[in-house]
Amino acid sequence: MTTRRRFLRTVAGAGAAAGALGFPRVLRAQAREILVGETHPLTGGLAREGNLGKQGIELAVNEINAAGGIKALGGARLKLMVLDNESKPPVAISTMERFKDAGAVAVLGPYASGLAFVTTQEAEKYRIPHVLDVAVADGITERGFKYTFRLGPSAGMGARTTVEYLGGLTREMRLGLKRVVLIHEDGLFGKSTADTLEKLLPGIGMQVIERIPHSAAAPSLNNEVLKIKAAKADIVIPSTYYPAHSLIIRTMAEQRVDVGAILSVYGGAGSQYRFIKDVGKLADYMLDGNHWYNPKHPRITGIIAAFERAYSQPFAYEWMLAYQSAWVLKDALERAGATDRDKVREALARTRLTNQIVPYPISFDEKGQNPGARPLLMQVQQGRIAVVYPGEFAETKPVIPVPAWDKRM
Amino acid sequence: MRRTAAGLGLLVAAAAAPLLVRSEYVIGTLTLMCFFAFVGQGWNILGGYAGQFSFGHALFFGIGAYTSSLCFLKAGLTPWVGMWLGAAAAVLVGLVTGHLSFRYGLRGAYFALVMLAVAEIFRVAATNWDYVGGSFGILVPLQGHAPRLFQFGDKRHFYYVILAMLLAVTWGVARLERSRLGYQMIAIRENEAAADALGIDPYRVKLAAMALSAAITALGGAFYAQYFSYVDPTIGFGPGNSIEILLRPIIGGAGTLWGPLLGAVLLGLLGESTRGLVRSYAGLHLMLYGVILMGAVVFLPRGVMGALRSLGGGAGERARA
Repeated sequence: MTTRRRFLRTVAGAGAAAGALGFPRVLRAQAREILVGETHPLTGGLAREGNLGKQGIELAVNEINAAGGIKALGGARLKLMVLDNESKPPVAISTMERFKDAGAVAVLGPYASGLAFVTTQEAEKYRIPHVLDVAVADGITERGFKYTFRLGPSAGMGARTTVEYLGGLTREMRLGLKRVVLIHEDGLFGKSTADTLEKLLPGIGMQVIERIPHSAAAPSLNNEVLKIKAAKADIVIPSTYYPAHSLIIRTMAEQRVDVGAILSVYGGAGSQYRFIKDVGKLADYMLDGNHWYNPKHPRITGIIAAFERAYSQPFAYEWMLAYQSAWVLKDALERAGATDRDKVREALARTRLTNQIVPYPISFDEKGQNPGARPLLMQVQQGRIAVVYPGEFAETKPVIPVPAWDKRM
Repeated sequence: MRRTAAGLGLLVAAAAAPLLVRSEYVIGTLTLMCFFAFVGQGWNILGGYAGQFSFGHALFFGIGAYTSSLCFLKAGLTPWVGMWLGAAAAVLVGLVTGHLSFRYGLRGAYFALVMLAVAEIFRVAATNWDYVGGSFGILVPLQGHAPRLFQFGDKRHFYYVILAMLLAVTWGVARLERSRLGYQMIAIRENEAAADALGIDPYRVKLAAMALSAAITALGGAFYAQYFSYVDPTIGFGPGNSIEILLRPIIGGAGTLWGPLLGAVLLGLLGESTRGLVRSYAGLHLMLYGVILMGAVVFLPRGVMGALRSLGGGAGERARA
């Protein structure tokens, strides 16, 4: 769909191109361009998330260029080369080859872990710095690649921190919640999260009384929810993707399965405004430990407003991490003062960013992981997603135990 | 004579390509083309020559990829050896599946479904079996440039490996086509009852086709695992992969020697050119690709090779005789 804005941008681009043809020397002298590769799943199963990432990077690059580009390089502008990896590893490989050929100074993307395994390996081969946005699988940074950088928390870090938050909450609020049911999809993400939780929950005095795996494509989860009911759980922890996640909530409401809290780890729905739009009031009181912004950051309201204006979409953490990744690269380019890939890599490795829109400082350990990264705990309250823990970022107090379904209708 | 000269010319061009072209992207695309031609040729033996339409060749692909990677990961065995163990395992599974299907005379859609189902069983099993990495799959540990371990720092080496594999298998299939077994397979494809009446044992011939097909596809899977150094249950055993494997021989012309190669080249070029043509609208190139694919299936029911043959009239047939 061509929006007016995009149309104007195209016209402006054509004008610039025509200008470049007319006065090539003048233009080149004024502002050089730095080619940055971006690989995202713009089609295929992950198209929605991939496009969010693309928009986040676009927004950041537009901001960077509007503010005068890379000052250390004479105001050079970032030029994005966006390639669709179609959610497929073989295509993801070919996008990396094209970045290498085109001479991209660094690569951003690729949203999903399965794709990141492939793109980081290619980046390592070609010695192209690769700043990841969302991909959380621990294995990506455990390979010790020198050209891979992940600013956000890994899957393991997310699960560990969320369990810590839950322990902190239980102590502070003196909650008597003990019996946990884990419901998870039987793929990579759900299963490994459930494994980690099963190990960690006893540490905060909770016991896993049942694990319910389900297929991500299950059309109905009635039986699974009946099992939750029979288990008399205090807390239900789903780790699954969006469709199953909203199905679980709907089915629990339908069958009036009341529990003390529903809390997910990197939940497919918990921290998505789409979820609130889809299930309405049923989304209320859902807790989720997930990527989020620092709500106390002075610039965050402006950035979110700018995004919503540009793309007519509510906030989503996928674009936020992608947006942040572009700024991490910008910072490294400023410090490197060169477009040499190895110099940019060196600069990235020495990143020390504080006061970013993510609620943690950004630096990288020798494996390229940001050791300080962490999720926040959010709760849906009256149709809004609010940070409820830890205290330093909390916008409001959590409501636990959550009201019964009968009291909400 | 002309045929041999053309073949030799093509071979020289293929071998020289990485020396002349500096683009990683072109090398990568050529590598994938050769790879798909290779596994397509594997499918072609069972699905093309023997006429047993398999919808689950990811089964053998996954076994090859998993076996060679696991042997490397758990026992440090070089994939150069592991790939043959993978082929052996795939042959074993192929024989069991083949026995169950052919013994009870499953044909057409039923055989296709059985293959699909067995591949799904392996996918679910691999997802839930932690020893093989569960749903996480397997990350092949990278050792940098280690030819001994089937790992290369430079893509060109991978290209030469798959090119050699493709040449070997094409030569093998060319021999098979003129062999007693090959004729028996074609006879069964054309009319199983008549072949049976002539004294051919369809059960044994089909099993032989299954074994050969399984072994080649598994070798392809082992190559994939080394090239991408990552395999998970969906990549290895998923139905999407089964479709990728059979697409090229079907488009190129099933049951012909050049079908899978032609299909791989055409689909490779088509995929890359549609991608390049319409970059600004995400997904449009996939639609275009799909439309052209549908057109190919509707208008070239016997693949591109079939169309070429009928164009060339009897000439091609006479040359073959």
